[in-house]
Amino acid sequence: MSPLIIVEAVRKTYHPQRPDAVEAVAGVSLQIAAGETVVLRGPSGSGKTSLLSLIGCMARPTSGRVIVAGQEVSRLPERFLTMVRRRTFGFVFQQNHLIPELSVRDNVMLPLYPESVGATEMVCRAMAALDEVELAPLAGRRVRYLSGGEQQRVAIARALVNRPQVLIADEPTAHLDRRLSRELLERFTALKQTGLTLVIATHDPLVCDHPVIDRIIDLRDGRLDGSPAP
Amino acid sequence: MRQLKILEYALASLLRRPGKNAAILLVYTLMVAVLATVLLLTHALKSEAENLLADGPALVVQRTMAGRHELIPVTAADTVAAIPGVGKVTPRVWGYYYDGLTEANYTLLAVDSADPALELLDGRLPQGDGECAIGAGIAAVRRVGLNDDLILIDAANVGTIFTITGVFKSASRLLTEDLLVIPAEPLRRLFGMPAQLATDLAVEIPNPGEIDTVARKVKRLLPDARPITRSELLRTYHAVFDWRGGMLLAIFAASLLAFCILAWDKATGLSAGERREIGILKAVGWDTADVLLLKVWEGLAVSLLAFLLGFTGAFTLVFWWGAPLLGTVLRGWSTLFPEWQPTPHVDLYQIITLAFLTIVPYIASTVIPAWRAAVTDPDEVMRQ
Repeated sequence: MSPLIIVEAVRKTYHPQRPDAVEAVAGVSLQIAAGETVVLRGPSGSGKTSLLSLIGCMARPTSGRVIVAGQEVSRLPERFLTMVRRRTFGFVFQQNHLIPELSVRDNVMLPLYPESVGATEMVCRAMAALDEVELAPLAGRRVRYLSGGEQQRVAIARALVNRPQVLIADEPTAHLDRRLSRELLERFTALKQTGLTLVIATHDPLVCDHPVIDRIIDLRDGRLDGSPAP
Repeated sequence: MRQLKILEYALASLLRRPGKNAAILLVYTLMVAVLATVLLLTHALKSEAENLLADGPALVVQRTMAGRHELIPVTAADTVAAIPGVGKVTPRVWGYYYDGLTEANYTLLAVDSADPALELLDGRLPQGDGECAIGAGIAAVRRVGLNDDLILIDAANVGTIFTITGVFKSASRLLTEDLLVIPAEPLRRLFGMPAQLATDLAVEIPNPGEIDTVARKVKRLLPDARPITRSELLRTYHAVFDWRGGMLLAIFAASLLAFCILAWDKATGLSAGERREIGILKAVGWDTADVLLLKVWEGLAVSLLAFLLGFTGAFTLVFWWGAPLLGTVLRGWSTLFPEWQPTPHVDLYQIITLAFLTIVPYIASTVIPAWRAAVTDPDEVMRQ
């Protein structure tokens, strides 16, 4: 499989000019092929979320390169970087990050507002995404009245509504019980079968040991585990 | 299409925070209403003065001595009438009368000096000694009507009885409310004014282009005279109403400032929820320009609605209800305030200025804090 994402010697330092500067990612290189399901595994503070942000064009590397579908994105202007992010990636955040006052359908439609999509098509696409996660009957309900598991399915529907090539999930089972975690992994399995690339940051053994996972990349102190410290 | 969708989202977003936005809307509506009331009323009064003066004499000639107004010899009328371009010259007898009973000032005018355009509400103009016609304001404060008697104290401190033969009305009640019309001879006796003197001269000049030239010639022929043209009188009225309007605005400035501080505080203080929402929007693919567009629409919706409500409220207050509170302050010193119904006059320049001063600062106060929140990396939301 050809690599969809290439990360080359990427470093990410937060507050580089300040005495409390933190190097969250310290020279990581990796490749992820289209259709692959990869887990970034490591303890808290190992740099999983920072690496997910860099891969998903949420943040720019301090040095190194990130190449997505053949295009180097590290130096793109914000507008284009946002467009790449919106059209290539779907995100499922650890806290879901839904807007509680909005309905399920309105939350799912959020990524479509900046796109050239008509109002009717927005609703159709949102309903199709909700159908995929079996939440279409709850489309009109406000998110705040849903259970944790349902809220996460809304977050997955929102991540899928733009038909991304890559789904990025940060600690997706952190707030789920075992039953809901298994359901989520079954959903990931179904998504993988559609050709979607999945990049998941977790330290949950249930996820790491699941057959849907093709590869596990271990991180420690911002580096690939086993790679030498500079 | 993108604009419309973001506008739709902005309106829905405002409705999701009804308490905060209703408070801001109320504050801004009040602020616009107060400002617009003063501006509309000042403009209406100036227009009213213009209408009044349109029927008045083109030139009024007064005599001055030591910088003060003095009675003018009636013979001066012949001198003025001899100037080429001058039409009719009327020596007018008029003056002010303070009525200690009602603590009000009346304007007393000789019947032959009265504007023929004055309409009588009831009765007729006075024709002989002991007759008078009065304005509706005097009739109300003295509680008198047609055929009733009115006692006025003359210059020798002796009471004179007048029978009321008519009560005035006019297109503008500003003119006739405190007016009392008496035939010339009894009025001279009341004021103690000699027969060869008049209060001033009303000069008609058929060609308006000649007014300034005639005024210069009057000044040359009668060095102690002060010719006052209609346009000078108009400028004075404008200055007076502008000054009063300015004073009112200055008085309101403190409360307006308080309103502005409150509105600014409301607008600039992004709540944790709003900050989080901006982060989520950025994370799901909105760029900074989309977020700013959303905030511009929100600001425009609130401020435009506040402006329309405030301006409509002010228009209703001034032109339908006659500006019951501010009108008294702006109209003048007389205690006989007419029940004046201003004619709607709206100055487009004033509307644009008012809109600029209220809408633009509000949008700026909405967009700037949102911009600060929107320029942060979207991965911040990943860490919350």
